[in-house]
Amino acid sequence: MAVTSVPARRATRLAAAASALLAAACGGGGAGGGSPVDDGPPPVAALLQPYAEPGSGESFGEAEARHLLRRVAFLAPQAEVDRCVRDGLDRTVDRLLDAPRDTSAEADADALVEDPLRPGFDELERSWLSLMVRTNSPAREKMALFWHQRLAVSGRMLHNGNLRWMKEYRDLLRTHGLGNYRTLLEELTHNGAMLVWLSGLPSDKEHPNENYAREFWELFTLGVDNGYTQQDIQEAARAFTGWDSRWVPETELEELYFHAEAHDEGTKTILGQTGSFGELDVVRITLERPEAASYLARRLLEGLCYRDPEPELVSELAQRAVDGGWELKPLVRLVAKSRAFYSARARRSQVADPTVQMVGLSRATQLPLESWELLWNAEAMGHVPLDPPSVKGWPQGLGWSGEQPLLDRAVMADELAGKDHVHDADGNDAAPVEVTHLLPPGTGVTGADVVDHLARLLDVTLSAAERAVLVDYMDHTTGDDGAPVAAPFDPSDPDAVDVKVRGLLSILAQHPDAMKN
Amino acid sequence: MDRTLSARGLSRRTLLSRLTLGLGSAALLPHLSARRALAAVGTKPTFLVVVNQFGGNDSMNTYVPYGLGAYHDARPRIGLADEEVLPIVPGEGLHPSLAPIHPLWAAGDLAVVRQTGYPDPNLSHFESADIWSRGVRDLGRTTDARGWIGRAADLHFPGALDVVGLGVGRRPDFVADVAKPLALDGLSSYGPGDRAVPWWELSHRDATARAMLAAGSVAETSPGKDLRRSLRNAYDLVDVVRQADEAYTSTVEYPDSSFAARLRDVAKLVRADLGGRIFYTGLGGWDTHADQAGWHAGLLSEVATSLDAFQRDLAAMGAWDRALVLVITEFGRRNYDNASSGTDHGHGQNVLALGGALHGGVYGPAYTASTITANEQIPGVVDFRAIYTNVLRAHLGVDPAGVFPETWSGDTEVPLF
Repeated sequence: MAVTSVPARRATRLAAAASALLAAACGGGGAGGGSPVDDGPPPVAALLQPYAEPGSGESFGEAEARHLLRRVAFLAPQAEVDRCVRDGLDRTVDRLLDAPRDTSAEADADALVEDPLRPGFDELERSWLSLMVRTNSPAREKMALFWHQRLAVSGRMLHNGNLRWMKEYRDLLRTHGLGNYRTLLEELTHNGAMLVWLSGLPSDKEHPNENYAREFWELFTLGVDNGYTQQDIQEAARAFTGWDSRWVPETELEELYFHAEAHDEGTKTILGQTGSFGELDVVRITLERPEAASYLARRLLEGLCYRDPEPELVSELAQRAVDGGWELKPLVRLVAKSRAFYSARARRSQVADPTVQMVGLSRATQLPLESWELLWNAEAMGHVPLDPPSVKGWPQGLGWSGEQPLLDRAVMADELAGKDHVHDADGNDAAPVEVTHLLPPGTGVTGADVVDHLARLLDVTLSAAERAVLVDYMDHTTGDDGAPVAAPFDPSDPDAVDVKVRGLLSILAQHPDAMKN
Repeated sequence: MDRTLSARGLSRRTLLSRLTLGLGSAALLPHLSARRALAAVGTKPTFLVVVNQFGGNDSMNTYVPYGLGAYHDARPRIGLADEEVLPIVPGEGLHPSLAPIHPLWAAGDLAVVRQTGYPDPNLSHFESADIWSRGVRDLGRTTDARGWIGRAADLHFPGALDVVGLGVGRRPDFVADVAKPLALDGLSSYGPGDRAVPWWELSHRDATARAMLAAGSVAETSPGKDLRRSLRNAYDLVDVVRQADEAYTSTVEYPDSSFAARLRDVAKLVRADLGGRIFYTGLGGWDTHADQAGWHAGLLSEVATSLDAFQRDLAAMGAWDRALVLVITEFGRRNYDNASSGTDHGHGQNVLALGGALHGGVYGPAYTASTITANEQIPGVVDFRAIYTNVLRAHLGVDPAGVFPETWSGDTEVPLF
């Protein structure tokens, strides 16, 4: 048996992972990226203060704009970044968060679903991925993904007769992800897809199911063992009873309904309060707990800024959540304008979720991956929105690292860079996709100019040695024997431009910075 | 640009022989060197090959209780005649399309585990497949999203080449916390590389990406340095996999099918002594609701001819005694054929096990008339996890504890080893 060496190797690997996490938690990850604020961290009390106030010496430039775009939306084309810098921090954050729904892009995405009442699972997945790439309201989709990870429901246990519940789930994340947290939780609590996913259908007072009650607190609102008991779970499960569904043969649809007789009307004691409670009472009682506000604040800060945020920062944001009636947008706005958000500790400290990287690459390069290409790559990378592996969501951070997962990303990047046609409705090559728009403006463009331009677009900071390797690639070709031959990049040669820009894009997208967030 | 000069037109061998950069690092790969040292002194590991018949194989027409009148009564349209069946034990035998692997029975290299399943049948493709993949019956009660192979890999097989899927994508079986099993479409096409560009450009990109990753700043911090290290290892793995493809020679001819090609890829990885412990492959098309007979016979023939070639190949390289092939599916089908001369979703199945060192024989309860008449489908008397548990402990040589979070009734292990 060749297993004798395994434990030692595993221990090494675990230790490496642990130290990496520790490094991230201790403020690593600020490498590169323009002009991060690194004259020591600001005092905790100032962390929620606005960033780049006049006289602060802080500035909102390209690096900051890309950081903002990556965290609350997706990586964007150069023109969008230029606009952010021109508009400044305040206007940019407001514009991103207050963007109206892009009804045109939504209609295009909806059209990918043939029968809206009886959607296919892959149709819904393709539709959302396509919307992420094409919408003019990207923060809405990004914050919906944020909540999808944290209130994770999969549609894979549904069928054509009830998959529309999964679209309702997606849309409640999109509608309330920057709306009201209480409403988000209330809607989730009687969403059909969630009820199927967490064993709430049917839920009868004779057999209350504890699954949702447990996850509602453990994963969604309070955190493991944070202020509730098994007794509370049993009581809350009773409050959640009453949902059922029936098959309607005429429409071939499964219909959700509340069956009053199956609901437990009795008195329950939940988190110290006693009454004849129903599901909305559970949400209300939960939000009256101080742990709920802290949990929300910590999730927002960890997702938008960095791991293990300072306790003072958490409690300040938690207080604002309560004072603001659980409105999420003002909290996100405050954080996205704060010094914490732009601190060296926050910058590039996260690993981008694979689909987020893919969508960002497609948007920034304006190479329009089509819905099925997006889905295939998302599947290959193990990150298909609407199909999380469990109620805990997907891996996070370095959980996305490893040889195979990173190769999957490299293949995705390569496919994006090679995107040279869009297809017609029959799947035949239709319009060609050019890459000339990815050249820097002006004449006399050199290989080095292209390297610098694309690195900037992908938010990659190159070491001098890396840059030299890439410039060398741009200025050489390979002969029949595979040996490099000097051939300086010629922007007037369309074939050379096509090959080299695509090649460079494929390589740059494999740079660690391109996989960070 | 002219994309007619495509790498597709060149054999991988030609391409690699022309590459001047990027190769040669594999021998120094730290996580492989230990295995190679072991291989050098002759300690070669046992391994498992899971073959999944996606869609739900009609198990009752694969391992056939032909001696029972009830069998023939239940299947007037698709039942196999007594004289067609290849005998295993009195009254039970193999579908005639399995003739290529029938000799393994006499050699003691074939076992059948009858009436295998799990409690409380679930007739949905997805859910039943998920139960088999995750090794968990009550899916709703666990937040552990890992597959059974993923849990085993986290505990015992964390190396990059320890668990390898071929042509089956990212199996839910592989979902792990720590381990990252390999998912190959095929050995020769592994890794990034736009197949539409000329080979010299492909090799130039490949070399440039590797050189860029090798040229990072020493001051790089987490998570960047972790991602960089993993991706550099990944490129080394690509080399190892492609070299295994290049180095392989065999006199055994495989059938011309994608399933056979996947098994041959497994043989190539075994031949290269990379230490793989669990391989996973399979083929679809088994959801035979209508006009089943000819279609089913064709699929079984593809499985049997491919496995026969695989067996002879492994035997020739001296690896058959280390091998175990388990042929599974997400569920068997109904005992009764339907009016469309097909079968609908059922439950239990007869698992086939092939290997040079297993205890050949027939396990699980024998078929009786009431097995067929008292049930709509083959019952799942033997829990499938009892097979896996035995394989983990007695074949792969690891402690099965922690791999299956639930307990089950009946035997803890099926003594294949």
